[in-house]
Amino acid sequence: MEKKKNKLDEKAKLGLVLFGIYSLIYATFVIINTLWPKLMGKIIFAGLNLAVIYGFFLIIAAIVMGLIYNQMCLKIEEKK
Amino acid sequence: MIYEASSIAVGLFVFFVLCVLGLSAYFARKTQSADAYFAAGGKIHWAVNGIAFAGDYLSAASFLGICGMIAMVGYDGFLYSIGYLGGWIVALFVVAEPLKKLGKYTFTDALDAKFNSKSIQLTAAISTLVVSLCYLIPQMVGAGALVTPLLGLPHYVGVLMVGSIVIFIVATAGMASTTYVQFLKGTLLIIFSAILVVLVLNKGLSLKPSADYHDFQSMKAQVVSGQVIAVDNNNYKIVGQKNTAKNHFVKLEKNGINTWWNLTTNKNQETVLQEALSTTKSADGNKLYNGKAKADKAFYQVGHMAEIVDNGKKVEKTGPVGPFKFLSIFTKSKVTRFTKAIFVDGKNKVTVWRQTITSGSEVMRPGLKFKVDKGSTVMSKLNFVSLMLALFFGTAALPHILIRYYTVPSAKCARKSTIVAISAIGFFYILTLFLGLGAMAGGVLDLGSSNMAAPLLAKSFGLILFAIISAIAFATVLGTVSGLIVAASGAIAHDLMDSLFKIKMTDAQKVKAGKISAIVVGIIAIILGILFKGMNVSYLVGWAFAVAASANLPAILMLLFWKKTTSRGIAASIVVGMTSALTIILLSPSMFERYGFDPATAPIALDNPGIISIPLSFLTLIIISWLTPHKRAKDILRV
Repeated sequence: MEKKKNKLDEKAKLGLVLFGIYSLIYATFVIINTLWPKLMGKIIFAGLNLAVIYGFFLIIAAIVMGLIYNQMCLKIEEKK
Repeated sequence: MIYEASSIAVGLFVFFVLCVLGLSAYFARKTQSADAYFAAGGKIHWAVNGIAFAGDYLSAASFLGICGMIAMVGYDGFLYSIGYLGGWIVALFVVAEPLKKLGKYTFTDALDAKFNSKSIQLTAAISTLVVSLCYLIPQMVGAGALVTPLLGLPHYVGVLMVGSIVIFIVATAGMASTTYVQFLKGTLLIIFSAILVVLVLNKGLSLKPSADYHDFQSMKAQVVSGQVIAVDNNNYKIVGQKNTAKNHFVKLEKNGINTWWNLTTNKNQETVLQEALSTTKSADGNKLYNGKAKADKAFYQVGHMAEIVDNGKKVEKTGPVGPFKFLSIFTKSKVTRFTKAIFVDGKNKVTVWRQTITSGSEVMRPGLKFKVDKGSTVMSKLNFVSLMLALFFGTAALPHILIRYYTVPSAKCARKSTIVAISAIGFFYILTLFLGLGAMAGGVLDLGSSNMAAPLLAKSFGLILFAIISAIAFATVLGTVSGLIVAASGAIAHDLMDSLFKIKMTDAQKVKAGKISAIVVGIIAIILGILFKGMNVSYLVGWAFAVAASANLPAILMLLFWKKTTSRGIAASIVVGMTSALTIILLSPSMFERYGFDPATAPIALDNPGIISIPLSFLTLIIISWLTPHKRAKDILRV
């Protein structure tokens, strides 16, 4: 019983995991911008450089991860 | 440049204001309880709340500031969009649901939910007021700055007008009317920004952005020992020269008009003088624009491509392009930016904007504003990291954003509305890159006010779009200021009067206290907006983010995820986070420059405090909580 009480709420745990993943992606972006800014100018795809692709990716990833989080939370709520 | 009041813009603005006032009057009848006033009764639909979040968050700093910054420095401006949006991830994954479950009307409620601590109530309320005021001042100054060029009214009239309308919105129906004003504004802003981007892409890129675009002149110059002694044009006479650390500027006279020119070399490696734009402010306060009075309209709009490369070929213009093609061509081409230099010429203060041809690849990566590449130092890189940290952690700690979690019926709705907000705000922030670059190359920039980039870009597509975008810019200020005043009035009426000082009030009296607080905060905002006229106060938004991230976020996160957190730990972390962030800012090089001192003598070399103040706040909370273990936050997120 005591063990169960110490478990983090399932949704909070999921939120923390997704927050950790996004934070890592964001931190990598900041580190590349800070230490290797020229790398951000490298053309990656369709004439777009890493700076633009990574920037758009961070914005779109936030939306997609939000939708995934909501779906998973809905499943958890249904289980309860 | 000279702005002419547009009757369509005035008409649309008046129409929008009438709608807003009508809406507020309608909701006033339904706002009889404290719950209705501070949290719209918790009955707002999650989708409406999500767009209202966007309307609240996308302030003038986002719409006017970011577009203007991208237009001047390219990708570095877009980094703000990325940082601001990233902050919503913290709000969604960590803060949204627990905050909704814990709180009632304000952010202080949530922090204090498990403690009933006077120190938390006091420190969190003060933090709310400090952050709200830091955010309010630039919005009010921005209101005045918008009214002057667009409606032809004095600055104080603009501030009074916006202040009075917002006081009416908040004091009549509190959070209900504020929500719908923000919903309307958010919807309009996103739709019309998207339309503007479609028009930018349809126009494409061109070496001559419009038929009446200024034809820049240059002339060969003869230089001896660094001094220009003759020019290849008999109409001009050399009347002065100013050498700065990096550039040589020459003053030429023609028909009694003095203009400034930049000494440079052209593509044939010939030494030439290149036409620049300038303002000259004399000791008696008189200001000339390119050597002429303001009414002569000599300070023309600028911004053009210097070379366009499409499919490996140099072209004059591209014609309509898709979004990726637009960015790809921009990256491979060259753009003429206008870089500023300030110097003293006799008794006059001169500001010159010289043409600077910059490769698209440089514009489309970091480095033009943030010193992470050329000329960077360890401290300049730390400054950049610190800013990105504050943007990421600041959003989820802004009191006027957090109170919107109490306007929906459930934690599930709080989560869903945050996802709607992220989608709407994310979409808008992607648009800012196209709007900014479109303005940079579209011949629309007013170098005296980069904040006008988006409205002026709209003007290049016709007066109606300009009028709509201008009206939306006003609405942007109304929406954000309303949210800030609700947050500040909640801190006074609910956190301080009701919770801390235990002033006995009936529900109706609580509503009255909230309304009076809103009027008082509104009047203070009007006074500050008038007092700060003419000051570039956009840095205050940065203060708000830094203080919120340092004072509020460590307290929220630790309360939720560290069961040993104590009330004294929370109060101490708020005080240390807020004071350390403000102290670092006040002693920073950029503030020393504003005080008129040498920035190099600033005791702290950082401009952005987050990298020090956020960890310091966390550390304070942990140490004080260990030392005061008697009252702990337990079982908040545990089952």
